[in-house]
Amino acid sequence: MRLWTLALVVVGYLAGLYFYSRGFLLTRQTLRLNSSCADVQHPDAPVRGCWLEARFKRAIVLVIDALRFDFVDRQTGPDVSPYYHNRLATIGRLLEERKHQSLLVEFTADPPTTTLQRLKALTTGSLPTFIDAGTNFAGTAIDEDNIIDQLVGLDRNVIFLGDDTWTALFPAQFHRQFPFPSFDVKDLHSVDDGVLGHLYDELNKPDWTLLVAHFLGVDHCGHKYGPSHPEMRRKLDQMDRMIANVTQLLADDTLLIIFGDHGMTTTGDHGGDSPDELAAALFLHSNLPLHSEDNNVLSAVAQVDLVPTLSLLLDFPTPFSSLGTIIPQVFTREQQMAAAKANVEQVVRYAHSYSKQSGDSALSSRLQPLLRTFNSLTPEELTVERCLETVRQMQRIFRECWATFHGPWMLIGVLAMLETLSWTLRLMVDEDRSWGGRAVLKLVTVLLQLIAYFGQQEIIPVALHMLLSLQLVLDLAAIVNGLMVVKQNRLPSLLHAFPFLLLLLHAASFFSNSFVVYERDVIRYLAQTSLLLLLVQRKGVGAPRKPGTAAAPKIPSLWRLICVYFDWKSILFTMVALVLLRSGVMFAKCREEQSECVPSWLTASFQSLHDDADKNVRFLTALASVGLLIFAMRSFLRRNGHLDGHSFKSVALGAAPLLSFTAILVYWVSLWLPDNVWQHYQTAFSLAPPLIVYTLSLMLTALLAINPLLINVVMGEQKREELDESAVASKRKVFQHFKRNWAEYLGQPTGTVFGLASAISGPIVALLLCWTVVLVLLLGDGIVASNFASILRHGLINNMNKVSAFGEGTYLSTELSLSLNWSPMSAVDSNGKRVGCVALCEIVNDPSGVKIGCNESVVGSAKTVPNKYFIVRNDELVIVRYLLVYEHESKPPQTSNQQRLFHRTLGWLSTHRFWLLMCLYFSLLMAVGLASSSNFRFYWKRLFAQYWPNHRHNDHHHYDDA
Amino acid sequence: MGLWAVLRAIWFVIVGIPIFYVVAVLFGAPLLSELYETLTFAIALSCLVFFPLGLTFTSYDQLGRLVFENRPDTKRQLVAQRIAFGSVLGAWGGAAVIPLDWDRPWQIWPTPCVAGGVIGAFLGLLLAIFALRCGPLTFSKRQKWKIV
Repeated sequence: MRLWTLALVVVGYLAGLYFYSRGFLLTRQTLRLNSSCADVQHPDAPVRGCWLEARFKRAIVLVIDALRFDFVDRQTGPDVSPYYHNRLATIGRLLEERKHQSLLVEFTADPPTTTLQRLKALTTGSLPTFIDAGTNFAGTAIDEDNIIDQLVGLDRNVIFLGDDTWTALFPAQFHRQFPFPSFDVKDLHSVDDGVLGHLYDELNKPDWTLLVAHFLGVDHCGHKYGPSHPEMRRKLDQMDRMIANVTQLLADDTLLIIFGDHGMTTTGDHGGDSPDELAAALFLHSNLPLHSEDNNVLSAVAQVDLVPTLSLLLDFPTPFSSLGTIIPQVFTREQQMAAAKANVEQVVRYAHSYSKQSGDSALSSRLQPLLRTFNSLTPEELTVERCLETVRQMQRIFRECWATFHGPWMLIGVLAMLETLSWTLRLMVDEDRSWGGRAVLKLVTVLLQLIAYFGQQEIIPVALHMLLSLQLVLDLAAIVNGLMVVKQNRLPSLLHAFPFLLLLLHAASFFSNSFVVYERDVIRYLAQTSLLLLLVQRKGVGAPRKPGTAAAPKIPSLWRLICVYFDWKSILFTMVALVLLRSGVMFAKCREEQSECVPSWLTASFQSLHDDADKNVRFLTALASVGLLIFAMRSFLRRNGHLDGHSFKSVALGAAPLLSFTAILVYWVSLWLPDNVWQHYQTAFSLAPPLIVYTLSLMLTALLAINPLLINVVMGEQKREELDESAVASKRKVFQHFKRNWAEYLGQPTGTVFGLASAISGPIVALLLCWTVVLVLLLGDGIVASNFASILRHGLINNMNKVSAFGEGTYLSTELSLSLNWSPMSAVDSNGKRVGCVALCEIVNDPSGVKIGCNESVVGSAKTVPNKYFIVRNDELVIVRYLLVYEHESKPPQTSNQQRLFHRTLGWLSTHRFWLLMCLYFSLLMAVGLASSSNFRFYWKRLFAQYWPNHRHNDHHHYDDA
Repeated sequence: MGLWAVLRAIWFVIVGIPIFYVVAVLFGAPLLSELYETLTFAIALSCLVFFPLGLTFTSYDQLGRLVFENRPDTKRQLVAQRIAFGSVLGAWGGAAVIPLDWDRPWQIWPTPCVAGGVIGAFLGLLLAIFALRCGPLTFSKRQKWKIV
């Protein structure tokens, strides 16, 4: 395969991936527009201040990460957890005693429920789209209009304490800031203690308008221990004391806002969209009456609603891209109307700007009727409820439009992938063809893809669809053609077709929801079936019996019968592999949809275990598994001479696994430490072992990528004479005699190469070793045993797949015709010829190492080696004397009389293949085009249906500025 | 076929029960918690597979040819082989409906696998009849069956 074809294949895959993700990963355009005080003006309402008269001068925002709604709300009944329910007693007391000054709200987050995305939504008021989801650990500065920028723009000061995600989002905005690192989720206390150290001082200072304090302890406790743990109770009690202190220090002009940015699941995780993760708590409190409702617990308020509410309560302009509605309860009766009007005006303005800038016609056509209805309202009909309803509807439209995939791009992606795949297949099948015409097609495709990448033309996707599908059809036809040629020679038996059936079944299983839910069972079942099939296919490897032979001894029992047809190795290996596969169930994690599934204690995090015996068992099995894994692979490398020599690579390969093992051991031991001990070691201690493991693995991978060969060449006299002292030492001398002769003949010194026998498998094992260590660290101590089992299983299966008819060894033959069968032809060389080669060898005829026509039972078989075979068990008894290189002359396949007509037809079809395909393709295109053309459908109906009323042309709604 | 063959067939069935129990557990049935269900499956499948085989063969060589080489010696053996293979395949395929979320009572282990085994045996019987009536079978000289 030439370099440029390879380059085109790579480009094809990359383009497919890019276009698919462009259609699938939804993006939202960010508008760089800001709100200002002059934007919203009500001639009918006396506005003092900016948009609305401020109810509060200052606000304290306490973010308690992962504060779920039921942590705060009063819980009764049998399901009350002693660890996390009713622990925030201060809030409960305030809700009862100061009814009108406190408000508890169920605060519904939008997925993804990760802290960075929540903070963006809570400051800008916008809805997240899919493309945002991956950026949690590289928080970049917010470039959209947001609360903090608005306050700073009005010369009001913002103080920040806590999670350093905020300072990544707002690098220069805060008047004073006290950030603390949030990365180490095992660390429960350093952020919280840091915040508490400064919080009360800052509360007493008069120079701020907004004070944000972000506590991470509850979230990290969830990650580390899960919610049902004594640490969680301790953490929530600490938060409760903090809230009590803050409420005592609260001034009359200050609003206290406490909320969680998201919830957590029963295992303490978050990020998804389950109800437990979405339902956070929001608590509002002030010394003056806040609202006049009787019920001070509200349900289901969207998280973005806090943005307009806070901005109008403190009176600064609502951020431009905010899509929230105000919470009407916290405004006075007189203010509600003005607040609702400001709210609706701001959202309508955003809708205008967004649909103008993005050019999204679907969005415009959906917003249009809503705006028209709203504009036609008379002042009497314009109630608070009406305004808020309009905002909510607009929010819903935006949400739906941002959650709609772009079909044409995705289709291009899928087609490009399939096309490249089929082309790769073709390249593999007939690589000696010249691909001139095809290359032109490919280049045009790439060019169009480039244009599509930069441009916005509507016609490009359609052209790409056509071009790609044309190439796909060509390739598929060629592949089917190739398959038919193969099929004429031999029909595959049912037994050989069954693995393909399994593959198809697996592919088909993804179309059923239930099979996706139980995917691991489906895969296990199919894998076990294929294992049994492998066993059945190996049947008869050791069968010496033919039905006609009378001399065959009677088989006395069922067990002997099985032994005749199967060798013990196959049966044993299959059984062990089956048991290993089956035992994988012990390590299963539960999917959300599997309601009856009980998660295994092996998959839970180590710290969430309560029982010391469990911990012991897990720790010891994990240690044994990882130790066995590492040392088995390392000893393989050592035995095969890959660790010999003093090059940096071999020394590193020898030392790195041991270092990694030690690091993993230290890391797991550190998990035993109770939390108060942990505190003293801080982050350096908990992050160092993983860092060591990752660095070593990356380094080794890079070394292996630069030069994968792990061989060590020693020129001159043999360094290790004592190597392989065995019974064949005398034969070894013969071999060395040859070698010396060879050296004298050539006049060059000969050397010894270590690690040549496993030159290919050695680096693979080394890479496996590198990444096993990383995997072990990532998966945790519970799963390691399964990792070990899977590697063992693969080894067993690979061993079973190794087929050698008469046992291991080098197979030689006295007959050239026999040898030629095993001499594969090369790829086409530069002269356009195929070349093969046969080696002429000299062997030392030693009965202990060479088998010729003897009847001896060897492992896996009990067969007579035919006379024409020489099987050399000891490689050193063979020396290659000549290499016969020959060219291949291809013969046309022989055909019988019956097949001639068929072949002639096929021949005609294959010579005119291109035109046939073009005809087929264009008729297909015509059919598709006609089927989707409205005019054609119209006349079609006209012709075949007598009456066809109400035909409508697609009228494109153009958005007009109202 | 006589009393001896029937006794041997029963012996085969008894030997087959633990084999199928182990196979069922390996393929995902619970080890002990649903003992009776798994045992039911093992008994049913052992009856379907080993009873016809046990009835029809006379020596283990024949059985080996029948099962592993697909060379039945008599018509009866052909029928027994098709029934046995059919019921194994049917039981294998029957498991496909267990994970589906239709909430039917017959989806609970071991009903689909036993039912699949019975249906597979029936289909195997039909196939055997088809093969005997109009399949490409030829008599060898000693009145034995050989599949071309």
